[in-house]
Amino acid sequence: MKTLLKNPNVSRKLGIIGSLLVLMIVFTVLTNKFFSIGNFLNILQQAAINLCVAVGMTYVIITGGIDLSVGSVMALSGMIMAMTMESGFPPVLAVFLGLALGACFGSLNGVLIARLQLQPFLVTLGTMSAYRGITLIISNGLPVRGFSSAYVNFMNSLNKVIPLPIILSLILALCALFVLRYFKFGQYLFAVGGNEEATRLSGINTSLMKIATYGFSGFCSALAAVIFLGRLGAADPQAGNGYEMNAIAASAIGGASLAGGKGSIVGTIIGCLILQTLNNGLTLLNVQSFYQTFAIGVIVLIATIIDRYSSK
Amino acid sequence: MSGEYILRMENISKRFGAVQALDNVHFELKQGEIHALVGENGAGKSTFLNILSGAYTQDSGRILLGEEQVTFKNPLAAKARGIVKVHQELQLIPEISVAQNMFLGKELTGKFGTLSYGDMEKQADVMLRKLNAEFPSSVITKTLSTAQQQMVEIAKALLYDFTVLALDEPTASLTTREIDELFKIVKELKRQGKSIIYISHRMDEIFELCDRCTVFRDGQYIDTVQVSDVDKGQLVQMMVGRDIGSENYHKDEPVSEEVVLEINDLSGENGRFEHVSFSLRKGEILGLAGLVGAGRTELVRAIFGADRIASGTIKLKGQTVAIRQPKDAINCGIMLIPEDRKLQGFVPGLTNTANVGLSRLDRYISHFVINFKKMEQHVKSLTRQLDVHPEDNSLQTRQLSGGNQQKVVVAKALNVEPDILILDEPTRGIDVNAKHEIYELIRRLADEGKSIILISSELTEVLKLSDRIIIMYEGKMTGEVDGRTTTEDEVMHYAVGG
Repeated sequence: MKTLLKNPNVSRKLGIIGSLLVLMIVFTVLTNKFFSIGNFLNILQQAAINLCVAVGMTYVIITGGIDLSVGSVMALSGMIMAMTMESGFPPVLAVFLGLALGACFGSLNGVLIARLQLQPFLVTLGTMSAYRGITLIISNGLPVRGFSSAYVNFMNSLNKVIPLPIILSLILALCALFVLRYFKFGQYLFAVGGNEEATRLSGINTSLMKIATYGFSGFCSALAAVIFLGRLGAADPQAGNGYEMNAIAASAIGGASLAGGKGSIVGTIIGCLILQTLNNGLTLLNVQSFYQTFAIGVIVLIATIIDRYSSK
Repeated sequence: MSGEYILRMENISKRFGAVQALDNVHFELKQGEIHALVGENGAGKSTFLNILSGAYTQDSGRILLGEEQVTFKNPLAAKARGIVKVHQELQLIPEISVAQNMFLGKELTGKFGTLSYGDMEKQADVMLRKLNAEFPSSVITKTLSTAQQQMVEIAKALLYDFTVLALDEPTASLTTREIDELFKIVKELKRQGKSIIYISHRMDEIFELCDRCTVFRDGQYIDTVQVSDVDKGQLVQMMVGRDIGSENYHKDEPVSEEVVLEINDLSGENGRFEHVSFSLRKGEILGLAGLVGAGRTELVRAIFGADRIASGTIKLKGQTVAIRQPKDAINCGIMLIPEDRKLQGFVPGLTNTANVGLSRLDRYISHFVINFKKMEQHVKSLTRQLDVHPEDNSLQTRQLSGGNQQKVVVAKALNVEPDILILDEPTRGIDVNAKHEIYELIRRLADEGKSIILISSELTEVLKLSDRIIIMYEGKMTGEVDGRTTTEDEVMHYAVGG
């Protein structure tokens, strides 16, 4: 146990789990509406979309990259799912199509970054705008509603037990966690982020790795769209604006380093929960949303400062 | 030559956590002498220089400039007292001009606080001319060769009007001709009465250049000697604490006739090397000699698939193979140990286990997931074979000394069980003892039937090991000689164009 505590990764994780607990205790003391199973499920459900996006983002950040296009990919694949369902596609098919296209949109980022050796920030800044533009064009800028009551009913069918968004997002996160820890792909992610050239010279196809990573991030965004459509019963061309920032924040709170080579899914899950708990608790306390935005900023800064000094 | 002591460092100790980096060491520097500081990696040379140049503060002991005791709070304070260090890794900003680099932090300004580029360039040119540099100070720094950039560093030091100049492995990445040029400069500085502390792993340089030599070992002061009073063997023995035996790694029997690799009329992109043809036999050590920039690294990188080939073929055991990326080469049984350990050799933040395992993760997969226990055990067997210190493979590779980092890179290469191993500058910046171990390893691998291509800027190293030597000049092959019978002069003859 002593050596476990000395391990900076473990002590860092215990640190953020501790912060989450402190946050929960504070809200439990301040309001009696906070501590209940119902509210906890509520937090998990609200965190589900950000968790999906942040899982993909964490992978990308570990390779030393960034994906600013996640919100736009979510809006575009969500819009495509809604429009295909509206035109009579079976929901299952539409969902698979949306997920596949999401992965394609992400992979395109990866191809531009890996094959043409462009900077991830600029590539995804470009596609962020381009994908958003396509979404607005095909939807004429208007939300699509009433596309499939069967789909919406199904997505809300388990709300009385454990809402489907929670199940989906947690399955995604656990798979990502498992792959990161126990699969070749996960090991290579850290290696690419730590030293891409050395990894390539070790016989690893690093450019394929990066394409797959951005593709995965696109897939995660599309899965977020699946949840979004179910919860709102509508596809909004403006959906997902600013989601990239929440996802980066969750990854960073969870210990991912924008320099690459560092990050964890457990950290990202807790990062999402900290952000959402803060939101939820402050809302229950009737604090204006302006203050919530401010509080999130402060938390990200604190996490960054702690990271800087705990790694030294 | 026998001037007064201008610098004395007495009973200097420094501890980092559990490591006693320096333990009561002494050092005395006379005016107008070139004083070598030698020792293995980890002997404390760098720590010592960092204390002298103000980057660290000693735990105990004192520094005397003449009769005055001084303490340097930071490198700037040391510079102000005329002590300047030229770093092992050059610290110039690539995108700005030479003059801007030289005046960085003490720019000359005009009336309204605007920069006086003209004045800075004029003064910088004066310093560069003193060093016989052939380039003006207005050029962008990154367009210069490594040797020229080093000249800029020294010229920058001249701006400070230094009394003590510390050079930390200045020749590590220079060509023979550039080294001659550097030596001229150093000797000229000595003639002007400057004192120079010279760190190098290359014995020949110390005997050619230095007056006295101080030896450190494991943070301890061993001795200071007149260079003319000792020979190479004695000096090495002082450094490693024992006799490291024979210096010849040749095998007695002739190499087998079986050709494993055939390079045919190979040319690289952008003409970095052209029309190169050679063959490599089973169990052979083939040396690739030439000056820096002769195209040797580019050639082997292309064979390994790290860079593209413009034309030509590679035949493996008689069959033409297409190698488009390193992965293909590894599948063909070819592995490269790259030139730059830190940038290309390993992932600094990963553990030794992860780094060594990286090249062959498939090996450790059972039931679809990585079996980390299996990986640890296998890597342990490799690192033990190579005697990596410390033995704990859960350490991050960046925490190891240079020589041990190199052993980790070698272990990673051996992990793919290559038939052909290409080593590009395998002993750069590592100490005598680790060098010796790498030489023995190369010999052993060849004896086991593996074929070796060896690149080194240290000619003696190529001569000591190679069965056959190919010499390149400006991207072309200029000669091929028998490694056992050739001489340094013969190889150099081809290396400068034949």
